[in-house]
Amino acid sequence: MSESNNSFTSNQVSDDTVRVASANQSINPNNSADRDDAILSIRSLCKSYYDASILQDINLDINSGDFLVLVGPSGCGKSTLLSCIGGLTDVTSGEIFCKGKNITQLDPAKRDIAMVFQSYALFPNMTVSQNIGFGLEVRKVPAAEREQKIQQVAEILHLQPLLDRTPAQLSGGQRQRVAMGRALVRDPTLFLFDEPLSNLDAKLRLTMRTEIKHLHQRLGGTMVYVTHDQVEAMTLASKIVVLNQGVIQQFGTPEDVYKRPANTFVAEFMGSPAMNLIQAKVLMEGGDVKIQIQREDGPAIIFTEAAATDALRAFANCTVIVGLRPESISDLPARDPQRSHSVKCRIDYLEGIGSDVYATLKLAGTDVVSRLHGDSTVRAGDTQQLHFDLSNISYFDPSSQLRI
Amino acid sequence: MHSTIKRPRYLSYLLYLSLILLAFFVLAPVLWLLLMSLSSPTDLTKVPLQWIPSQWDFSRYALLLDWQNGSGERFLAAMLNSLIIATSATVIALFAGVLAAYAFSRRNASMLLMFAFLATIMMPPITYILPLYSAFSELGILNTKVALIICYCAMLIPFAIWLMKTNIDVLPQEIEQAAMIEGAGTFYTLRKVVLPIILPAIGATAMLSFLTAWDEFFYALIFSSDLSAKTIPVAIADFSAGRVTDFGVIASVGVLASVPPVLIALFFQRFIVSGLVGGSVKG
Repeated sequence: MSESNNSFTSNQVSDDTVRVASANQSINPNNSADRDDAILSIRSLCKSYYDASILQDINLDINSGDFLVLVGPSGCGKSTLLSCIGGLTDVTSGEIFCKGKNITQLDPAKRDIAMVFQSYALFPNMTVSQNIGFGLEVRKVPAAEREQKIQQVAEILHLQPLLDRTPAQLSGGQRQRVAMGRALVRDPTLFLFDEPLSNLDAKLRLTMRTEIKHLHQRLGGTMVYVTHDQVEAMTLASKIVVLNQGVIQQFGTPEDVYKRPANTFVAEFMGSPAMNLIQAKVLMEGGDVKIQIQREDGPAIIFTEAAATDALRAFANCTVIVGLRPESISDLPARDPQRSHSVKCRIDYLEGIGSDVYATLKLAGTDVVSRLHGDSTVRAGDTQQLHFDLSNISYFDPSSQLRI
Repeated sequence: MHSTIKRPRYLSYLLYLSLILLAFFVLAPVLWLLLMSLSSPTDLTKVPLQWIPSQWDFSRYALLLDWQNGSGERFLAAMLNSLIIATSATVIALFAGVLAAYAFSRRNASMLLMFAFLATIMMPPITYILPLYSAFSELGILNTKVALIICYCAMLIPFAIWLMKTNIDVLPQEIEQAAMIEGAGTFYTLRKVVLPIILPAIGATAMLSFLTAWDEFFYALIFSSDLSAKTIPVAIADFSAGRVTDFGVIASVGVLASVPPVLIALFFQRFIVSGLVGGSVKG
């Protein structure tokens, strides 16, 4: 989002988060041209079980070749949304379009989608090759052609030596690849992945993540991928939907979501360690907007917001929440000296992770994590010159928690 | 396999003593039946009893396995009837049971209906005898195998549904969902995915159903009157109801009558292997 978009969103601060978050993503329900271009369109989809609302007014569009990641904490409804797209769960209201065709009531078998389940859901009574070829067999593809396609997929996924084994004889990673093979072999319109890596150990998860990314780049399918792991979401996605309690918090590119979170929930959920949210006051000095952050152990930090928007100016003499990523508070100077502010801070404690050192300090009564260079020799209790990089600073309204 | 738990010696003795007692309790009647069938009538009526036969007498088996002979005909016809009736009832009950169980387990069929089915087998058979008798008589199928097959199906189907449903309930639903997303319809999924996975349960249900039908006495006694429909339990009763009761013959019939169920148990044994679902979900 550019600055101009920022001002646009700020005019609608009170509007619902969905619209704000995706103002640049054209999800206007009345625009049917969008629906025809998009591979998958979801229009005001709601799902509830009895009184419990699982999904509320979900709207999104993805185009051919997109890698959409649905991310959110446990129970946010992301798997339910995937299940609705797959046709395994009935929707309460709303519509789902695939290639412009309304598939809301269509049988899962007729949706031309493939799905990789969290539990893999392989057929235990069949060999690997029968598992992969199942969809082709259902569709009565001739045996010779079937065999050829199975071989192709097996080659891509390095499954050739395992084709005659049964799922019970495979390791977790191998089963996962068979499940992917079963999805890949049919070349469907849409691939659905339901937390496919969550049952693998940490190392294998990284390998498979890279492999999925490569596969997507190579085969160019359209994918919808559910995960609770925000790192997985950032690395794989071309678009991210952040869900919380059944409501889309933000829909945008990974960069959007990371650098310009739509609200404090997204700010805290994406990124590890999470974005620092610090109470601050907006002061007007002449035409300049100054941001003032109180501290117990020193004078208040005051810096000038050179790129203040009108929306931010409207908060003059009011409290806002400043969002700064740990990497924006560093012992190294910021890239853009124009948008940098340096100040001495006392470090309370340190966490080294080899490549970096995370130093915690206290600003405005909250713990703030800063990211220092891995070679930093600072010790807990020391005072350190820190550079605040303001180029990716975010401001949130304390009452609505929305981005200003 | 060696147990890794160290157990006091007296407990081991106690354990083996219990095992021997249990084995004796289970096997003694069978052994006695076998001995009776091979003893001569004089040995069987001797006081005190001659436990080990003075001579081995196989004549009764020869008698029973001979169609030309009166007893042989009665026995073999009853065996054949029992086989036909028990097998037909088992096959029909399993076919209907699996489909119904799938509907109850996965297609939200009303549980009320299932409990209504189950309630029918909670009632003592005697309550059904009169209405069934008049119905069968009306239909003209008294003293036919069909009448007994109908009775046994009514007995076995609720039982089969119940057993199969509990087995389908525990299957991971994702496997069927995966099949459906791959484009398979309900019957294709049932045939290619669900049935092979629940084969052990089907085997167990088939065995239990067959045994229930094979051993059933009451309906068979009431609804059959001659060789065209009489089953083995009724035939055994007939053998003991004659003027001269030859315990040896009854014992021999008993031994022979237990051969088919034993063979079937051995046959289904290979389906009842655990761990067939292994490897389908998770690691």
